Amino acid sequence: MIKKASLPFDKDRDNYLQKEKPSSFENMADIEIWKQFKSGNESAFIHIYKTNFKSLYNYGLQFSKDVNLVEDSIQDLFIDIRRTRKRLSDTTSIKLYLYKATRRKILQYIKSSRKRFWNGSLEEGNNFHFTFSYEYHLIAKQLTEEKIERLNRALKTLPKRQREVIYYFFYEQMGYQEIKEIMDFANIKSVRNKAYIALKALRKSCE
Amino acid sequence: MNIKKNIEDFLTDEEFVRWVKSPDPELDVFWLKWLQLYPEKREMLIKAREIILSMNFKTHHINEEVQEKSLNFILSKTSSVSSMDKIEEFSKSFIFLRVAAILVMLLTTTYFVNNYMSSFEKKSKQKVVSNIVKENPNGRKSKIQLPDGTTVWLNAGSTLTYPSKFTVKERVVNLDGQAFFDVVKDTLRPFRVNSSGLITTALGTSFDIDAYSIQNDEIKVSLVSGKISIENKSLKTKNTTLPGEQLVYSIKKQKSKITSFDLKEVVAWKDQILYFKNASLPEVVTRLERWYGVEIHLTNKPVKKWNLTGEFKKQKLERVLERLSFTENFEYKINRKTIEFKF
Repeated sequence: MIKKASLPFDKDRDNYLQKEKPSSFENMADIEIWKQFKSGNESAFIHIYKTNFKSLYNYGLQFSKDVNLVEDSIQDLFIDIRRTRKRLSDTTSIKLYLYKATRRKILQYIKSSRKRFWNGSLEEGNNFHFTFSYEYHLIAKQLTEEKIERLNRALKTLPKRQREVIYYFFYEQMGYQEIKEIMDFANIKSVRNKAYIALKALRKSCE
Repeated sequence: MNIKKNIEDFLTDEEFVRWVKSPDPELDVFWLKWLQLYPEKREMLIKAREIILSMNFKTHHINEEVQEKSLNFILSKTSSVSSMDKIEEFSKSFIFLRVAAILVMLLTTTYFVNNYMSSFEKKSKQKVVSNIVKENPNGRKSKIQLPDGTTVWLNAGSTLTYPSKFTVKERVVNLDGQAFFDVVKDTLRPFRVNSSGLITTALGTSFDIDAYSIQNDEIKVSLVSGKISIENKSLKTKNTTLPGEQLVYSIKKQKSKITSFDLKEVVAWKDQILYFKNASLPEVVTRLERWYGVEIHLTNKPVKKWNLTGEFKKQKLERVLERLSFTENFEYKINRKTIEFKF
C-alpha cells in the first residue's frame, strides 16, 4: 500500500551545498597555513595571497598615491617571501606579518624614489588621510555639523605618526600590541599614549 | 580600565571601539550594563561613539583583474615548484569535500526514511486516522516531524493541523500563522498546505509560509529551494514560483504578486534569530509580543519614525529591550507579561 518515499535529495540541495563549500584553509589557524606555505604548499601560498592582497593594496595606498609604486612593493614582497619561504620565521598572524613587511618595503621604495627624482605627488600630508563626516542617520544627539567641521580642521594639524596609529586602531581595528609590532614602538604604553594625545586634541576641538 | 573621565578614555578603549565598529550581543550587554552603573557618563559615551562613527577613512578598491594579473606575475617570477599542478590539486580537494558533504546528507536521510517507514508500517495497521493539532501560543516556537518525515518549524502564535496518517494520494496540512517546511520528496503524493484559502503544493522542497492572517492582510509564500505551485481557491488562479521568489497575496485586495525576498528575513526566525529589516514601531511591537508572549503598551509617541534593522540571536527579552531602548531612546517598564514603552 505505502509507496516508499524516494530519496529526499534533489538538485537544489546540491546547489545549496555548492554555495556553502568550505575552503580547506578557511578553518585553519594562521600558524598552520604559514607552515604549509613554508614547506612548499602552493595552494597555501595562493590562499595567503588572495585573502590579503586587497587589504594590503588599500593599506599601501595610505602611504603613497603612486599606484605603481604600491603595486610593485606588494608584488616584490610576495616574490620575496616565496623565494625565501624556507628561511622565514613562524607567525601566528599572517596579516600582521604582511602588514609589517609591506610597510617596510613601501617606506624603502618611497625613500629611494625620492632620491632619484624629487616627486611632488608624494606629499606627506596625504598619508593616512581621513575626514569626519556628518552622518544624518546616526548622529543627532551630540555632534553637530559645526562640530564636525571643527574636528576636520583639527585633523589637519595631527602629525603623520599619530594619524597612522588612528588608522590601525579605528579602520583596521587592530589592538595596541599589533600596532606596536607594525610601527616598532618600544612598548604598548607608548602606542596608547600616542593615540591618547591625538584623540585628546580632536576631542578638545569639538567641545 | 573602565574608569572613564574623558571622551578619549572611551576612544582609546579597545573593547569600546570594537563595540561601536562591530557590535555583537555580548558587547551590547556589557556596555549597556556599564551604562546602568554609570548613567552620568551616558552623554560622554554617546559622543565618543559618534566621533568613531563619523570617521571616514578612504578605502581604495581594486578589481579582481589586477589581483589575478599580479598573482600570475608573482608566480611566473618564482616558478621553482610546478605551481600549476598544485593549483589543480587544490581545486580537486574542493570537489572531494563537496562529494563528502552530499554523501553524509544522503546517508542520514536514507537512514531516517527507512527508520520511519518501518515504524510507520507497524503503527498504521492498528491506528485509525485522526487529526493532530499543534498550537503554539505567543512566545513558543516548535519543530515538528510529520508522519512522512517532513520537518516543520512552527512559529509562535501559529497552529498546524495534520492527519496522523497521510492518504495515499496526497499529504494535506492546514496552517494558521507562520511555518517553514522542509518537505520530504515523494513524487506520488504531493504535499499541500492550506492557509486561508491559499493552497501551496510541493513535491520535495523547502519554503516558508507567513499567514498570520488575523493581524496581517497578507499571506506570503517564500520558496527557498525546489518548486511549488500556489493555488488560490477564491480567485481560481494558479501560480508557480522559483527559488528566491515570494508570492504575496493580499486578502483585502484579492490580488497576488510575485516578488523576490530577503532569505534572512524569511527564515531567520526558525534559527532563533529575531531579525528586523526596516521595521516600523507597530511591526516591532507585534513581533516582540508574538516572539516573547508578552503584551506591550505605548505611552506617548516616538519623536522619529522607527526604521529598525538589526538582529537578536537567542536573546532574552530584557536584553533586547535594553538595546532597543538605548538605540531608539525610550524607557520601558516590565511588569510580568506586560511591558510599557515610554517615549
